Amino acid sequence: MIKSEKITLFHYYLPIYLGMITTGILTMPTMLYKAAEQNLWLPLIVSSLSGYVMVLVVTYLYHRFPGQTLIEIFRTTMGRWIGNFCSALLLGLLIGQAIFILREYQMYLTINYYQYMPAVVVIGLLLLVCMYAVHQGLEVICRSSVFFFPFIIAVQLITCLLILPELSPYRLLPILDKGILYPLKGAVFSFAWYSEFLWGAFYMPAVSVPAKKMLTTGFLFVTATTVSLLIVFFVVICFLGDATSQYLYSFDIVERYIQVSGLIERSSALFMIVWLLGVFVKMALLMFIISVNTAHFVKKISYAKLALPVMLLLLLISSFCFTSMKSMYQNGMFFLNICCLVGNMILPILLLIYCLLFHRDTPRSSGQ
Amino acid sequence: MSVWNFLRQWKGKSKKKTPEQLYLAPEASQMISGSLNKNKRILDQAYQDCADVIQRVIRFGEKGESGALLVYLEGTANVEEIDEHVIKSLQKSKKPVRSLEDMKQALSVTDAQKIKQFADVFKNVSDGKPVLFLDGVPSALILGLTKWATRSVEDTPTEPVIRGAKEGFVESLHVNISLIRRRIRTPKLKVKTLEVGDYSRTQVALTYMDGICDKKLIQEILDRVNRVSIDGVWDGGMIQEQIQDQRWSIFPQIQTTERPDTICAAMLEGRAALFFEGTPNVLIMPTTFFAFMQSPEDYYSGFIISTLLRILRTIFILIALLAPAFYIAVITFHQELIPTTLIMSVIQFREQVPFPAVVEAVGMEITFEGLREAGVRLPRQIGPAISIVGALVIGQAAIQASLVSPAMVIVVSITAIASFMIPHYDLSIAIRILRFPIMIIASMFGLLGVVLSVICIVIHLTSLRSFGIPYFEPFAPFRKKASLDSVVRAPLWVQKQNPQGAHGNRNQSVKGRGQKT
Repeated sequence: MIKSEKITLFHYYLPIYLGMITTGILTMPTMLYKAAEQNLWLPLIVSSLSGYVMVLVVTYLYHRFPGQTLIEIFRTTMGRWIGNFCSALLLGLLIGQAIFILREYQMYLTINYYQYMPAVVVIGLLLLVCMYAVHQGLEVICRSSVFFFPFIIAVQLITCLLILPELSPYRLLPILDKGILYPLKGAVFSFAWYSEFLWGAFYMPAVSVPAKKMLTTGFLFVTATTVSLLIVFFVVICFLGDATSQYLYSFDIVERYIQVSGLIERSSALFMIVWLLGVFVKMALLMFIISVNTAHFVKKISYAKLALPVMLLLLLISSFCFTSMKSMYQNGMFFLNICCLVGNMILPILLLIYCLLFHRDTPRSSGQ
Repeated sequence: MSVWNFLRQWKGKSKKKTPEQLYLAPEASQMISGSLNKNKRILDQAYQDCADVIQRVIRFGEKGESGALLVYLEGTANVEEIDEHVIKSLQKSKKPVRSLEDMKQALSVTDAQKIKQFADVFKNVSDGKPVLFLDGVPSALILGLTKWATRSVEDTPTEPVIRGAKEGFVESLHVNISLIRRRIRTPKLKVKTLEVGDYSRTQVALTYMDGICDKKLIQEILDRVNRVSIDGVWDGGMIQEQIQDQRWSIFPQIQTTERPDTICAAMLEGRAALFFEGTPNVLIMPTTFFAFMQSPEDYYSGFIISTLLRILRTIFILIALLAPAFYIAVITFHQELIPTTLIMSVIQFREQVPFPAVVEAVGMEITFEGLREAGVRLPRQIGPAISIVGALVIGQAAIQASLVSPAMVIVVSITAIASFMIPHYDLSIAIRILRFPIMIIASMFGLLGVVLSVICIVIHLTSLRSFGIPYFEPFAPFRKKASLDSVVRAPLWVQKQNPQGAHGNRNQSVKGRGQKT
């Protein structure tokens, strides 16, 4: 299935990284500001620990069970019934995450650009493109993300550079005025965020590298994610200060205040374009993972053929869930956190512990 | 069922004819006989109603006792040389001519081969080689005295350069190969010939550099070309269409050129070239997307200049693809993106126009494409007339009649200029066609539609392969060394050898046709 496709380690982590920073830049500053105010860098750094843990878990599983995806590992170690139950649960939780991302994307577009376009159309368009990408396979998703990568990074960096004259760093002060524990409340939220690094476990067989290299590169990408998000957070706080919590999409607001000799005044469309590229990468990857997982259930069917049913399923569910802004950011956020925590962290860590305790006899094969 | 079986068998039988049977006359299976009269009878039968076949009986010897029969196609054989070196030499020869060996000695022709079958006679006469029969000998001589009409080597009008060689390929395969040989003077330059086309039996030459080019690539190309079943080949394009990896793609996965220097550079990068008799267009494979954005001149003018030019070309490709779509999206959905003063004037002009932006844009673009196509087909003398009409149609008059807005005219003209900047016609026509669906999507979904269509195009491009090489190569997947010669051109001393990463030395396996990865 995906064993015939070969990607490099850079291709392996890049879609996850791009997906995390694009969605993170848009909504995370506001969410974290509500919890930690100007000290929001602290929960971010603390929660990046979960990213390192996830990379460790993935690398261990990769090293221990070469050539198997997470679902297959569940099956081989936990037996048929529990394994199937766990993989079904994982699948459900992944679909939950996909629904939230789709709705988040649709809300952003509806609020800012397409007030009159039906939500189903906005979601359906993205899903159609993602379906095409999934149909072409993992290699294509990774390669196109490599192609989009410089554009996404360049636009974000240029935004940060151009807004520099407007920044006032004193807005970052006072540091830790309410103690250390107060800002850490926000970490719960971003813990879930970093757990997305587990997604790699679903297409592990596509890479063939020594486990050590996988670990170091993974750590590098987690660090890169933290650094990129920190830069954006600092820019947002230094620019908006207390007003950060007023805006849903605070970095978008920052973008609108760029003024270079009256020329690049209206660059918000540019921001929207690169944001779309990032969302596409994230969604295509997630849809690929869901298709591959489903393909494991329905044997003898290639994941490419499952792209269409998965797309229809996502479209159907997402047109019923979180139809309003309020429901999305109150219920949806809670729902997403549960999905991420259970699916991306608790289940795999339980698997890891189970393997460490009860499955020591499995022969180790090539790796480090 | 029996009817079906019968039909299938009948169909199978009718298909069984080999290519040899198709282009050769039924007499081909016979052997050449010792009697000149019998041979003449067979030839007369085969070349019935062929007015251009010349058969001439030559009498020679002291008393005219020996006889020979010369057969050739009018216009393909070099008549002066036949007169000088065959007929005169035979008549002057003092020794008696009893065997073909004697005849070889008597003639002053370097290239003379012995054959025994009529099949070879027909083949060689079609190739333009005269055939000489000798009375009393059951075999014949082929004389390499061909002279096909060909045009002289000139500048290529389709790929003009300011700096660089002004030579272009012509319709003769041999001249074309010699143009290559003149530039790469080493026995490592290999030329393999094969024949394609059931009736046309077009000569095809595959050239590559031994040691640089991947052996698997050569085998794959030969396999694919041999698999092609076609009656006649008049241009490489007819084969290109059938041997591409993705035959349904709009993007060309094989590059064509008329310039010898382009071919030589490509071969030194480990690619192979396919020459066809009768066309100046030569195919280069494998190729990448970025090869279509490069001109040979890039390497002759300085690297700073060519890097800037390449960046300019990249920007203009995006303009050629997206400018009208972007205009439609902004006018229809995102008016807030236009600065206030500009939108005032745009609105003022658009007030007069009765159509929505998309109708205006699609109409204008179609008119322009029509004008351009007409310009290609027109006789040269009428050329200027069409440009005057064109300027009026999509220019001043259309605006005065309030059919289109001035902004639209500007967008269309910029798009037109941009699409002329793409150095290779194959890519430029693909981009011109893709512009239309994007325009329609933009009118329905705005910028979202534009971005998603670009994503779709990128997905398609990254999924393409050209003989096993990823089509979007230096960027997706990213290759540092090769990317130095893509959108930028690094100085030659930095690139060292094999700028494209030498396809041959990369251990990149060549995938079969249509094989998905």
